[in-house]
Amino acid sequence: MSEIILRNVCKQFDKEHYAVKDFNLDIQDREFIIFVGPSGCGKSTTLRMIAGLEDISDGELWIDGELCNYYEPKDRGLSMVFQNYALYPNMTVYGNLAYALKIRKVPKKEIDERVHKVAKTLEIEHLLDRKPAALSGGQKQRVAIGSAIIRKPKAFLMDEPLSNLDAKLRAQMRVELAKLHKDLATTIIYVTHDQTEAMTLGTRIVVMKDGVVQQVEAPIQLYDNPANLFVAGFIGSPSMNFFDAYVEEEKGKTVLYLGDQSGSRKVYLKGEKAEIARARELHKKVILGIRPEDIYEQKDAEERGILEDTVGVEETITAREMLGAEVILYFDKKGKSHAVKLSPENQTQTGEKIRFYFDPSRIHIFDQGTEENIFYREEIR
Amino acid sequence: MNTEKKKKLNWTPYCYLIPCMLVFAVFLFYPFFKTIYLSLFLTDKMGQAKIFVGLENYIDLLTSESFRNSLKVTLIFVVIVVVGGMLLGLIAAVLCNKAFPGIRFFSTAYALPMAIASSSAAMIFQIMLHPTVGIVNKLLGLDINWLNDPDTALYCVAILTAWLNSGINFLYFSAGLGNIDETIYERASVDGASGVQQFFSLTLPGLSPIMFYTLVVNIIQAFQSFGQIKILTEGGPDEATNVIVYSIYRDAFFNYRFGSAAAQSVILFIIVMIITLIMFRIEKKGVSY
Repeated sequence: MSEIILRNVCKQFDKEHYAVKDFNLDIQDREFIIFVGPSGCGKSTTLRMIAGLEDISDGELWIDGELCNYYEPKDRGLSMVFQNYALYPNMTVYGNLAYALKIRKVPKKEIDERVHKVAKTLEIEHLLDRKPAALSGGQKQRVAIGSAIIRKPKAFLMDEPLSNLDAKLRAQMRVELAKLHKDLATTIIYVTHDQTEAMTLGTRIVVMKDGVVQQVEAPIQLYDNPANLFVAGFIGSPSMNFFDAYVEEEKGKTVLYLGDQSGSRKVYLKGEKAEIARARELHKKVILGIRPEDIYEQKDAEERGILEDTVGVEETITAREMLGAEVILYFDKKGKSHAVKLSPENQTQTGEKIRFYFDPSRIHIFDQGTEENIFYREEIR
Repeated sequence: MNTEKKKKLNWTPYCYLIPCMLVFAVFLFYPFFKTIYLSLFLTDKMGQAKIFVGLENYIDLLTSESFRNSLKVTLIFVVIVVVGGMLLGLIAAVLCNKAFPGIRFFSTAYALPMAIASSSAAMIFQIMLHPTVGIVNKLLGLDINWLNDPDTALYCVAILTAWLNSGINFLYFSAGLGNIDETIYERASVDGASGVQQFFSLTLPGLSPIMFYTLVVNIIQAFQSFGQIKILTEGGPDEATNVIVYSIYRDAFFNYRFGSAAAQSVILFIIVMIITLIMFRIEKKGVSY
């Protein structure tokens, strides 16, 4: 059982500047929580405050019902995996794994058993006599994880543990981490700036920006229901496309005029979205957001029955990326680059024109001033 | 073509070596071999070899009470200087390894002994240790003639030397500490290690390469200390501070027994060489890079 609660946690380095501000989060037992955000957003600082490596300037940290603000790192019962692995260079792999147990005066026989068990789980048994300098990045990573799990802590804190690995190894370790989380049945708090890691590993994701939590949600909700412009743009690759638009009324229907108010390019909204947009933003300028995979070429739009809801926009392709399973076309609009994800059969080349159709049910509208998603519903969980 | 190249010796690289070899030859190799040569002779007052006596100088030395005392004094002196100097440097470096206001002042203060000439430091100590006006006696409320008491003189000189050496040791250790990755301490504190446990299981092993180097340099330096002994005690009282280097100086330039002085030099050289060789042997086991 391990429940970690953060209440209005702040980190202040000087009087005016907050590294983390009013961080609130209830982490349930066995959750895989991901802190994600651009560099400098305070995610690592928050993790380090939970670990006890940074002082908490304000707010409360509760671990299993105990207020832990002033507990030493060693008394919090957590273990941590660092970005650079932080292996003890003078000790062998065995020594690294055993260190935390040795300090706790665990009997030698038990240490030996646990080291071998962990080494077997992580497939590093043959490396036990080696020093860290003689290990590859992936092996070091396994030793670091091994030294963390050997203690059976209340929760694991991981600070960008895969960022020093190459792409292939990272993907492999990602799968293993997910499996490990299942096997260990322990809480994991994981910091990353890689959204693939965030989306695939997390049971819930905390998106941060400038020290402030933007949204806490399960991955798919986060993707489908971003709270604001920042979250919408940060999660997803290629990221969501944003266009200037106006909410207008046309023969009783709510319609979005793209780019200008001429109505030459427009999308009709339906159902609940139409009502919300009309109620909140009628005749106002808004930001329209749509993901690359929710934009279609004519053939697909026809199949999906969205052709009559949208007047297609014709664009000149500036770049084409063939990824095998899909092709990504890029076009520029008012100096901003936009992406469209299509099936690989599409043969449109750079410099050619193509007409795109937006799926109205997948459109997000952001308030120009507050940048909030007007369709965001907190109760969706 | 290859064989032709091999046959013809290329002299160019050796020419580049000539200037430095010349300096070495004049100031190092020649005196070195001359010393060995002299140690086998009785000399006149001008230091010229006169009568060949073979190993008699060495036999005389090894059977002489005074020389044995010299060896003993040197050994004690070296142990105090090396242990004291390294401990002082290490403690200062560990204290200054954290960022806090005024760190630069403390760092400078700890490194300062490096910049003080041993003779001027000796003069200052002489006044501090003076039996009537010295601050040490005043502060401690004692009445000890530190430098003229055979029981205390050696320790005084050794502690002064240790302090003098601590400056450069501080610098070495500070550099060594800077090379240790900060995050391993963070991991250790999360792992549950106390400050003391971290020091012994991470800091000391992390410092071991620089520690080894410092140890070798310190031992050699300690064996060669001279200036402060010359100024403070002149080997006395009652030969209590008569370390080998001072004994060499006294034999050569007071007693004009250059042969015996040369023999002592050779013995000192052998001692230092043996210790250094032993240490390089141990290094392979104890030092982790």
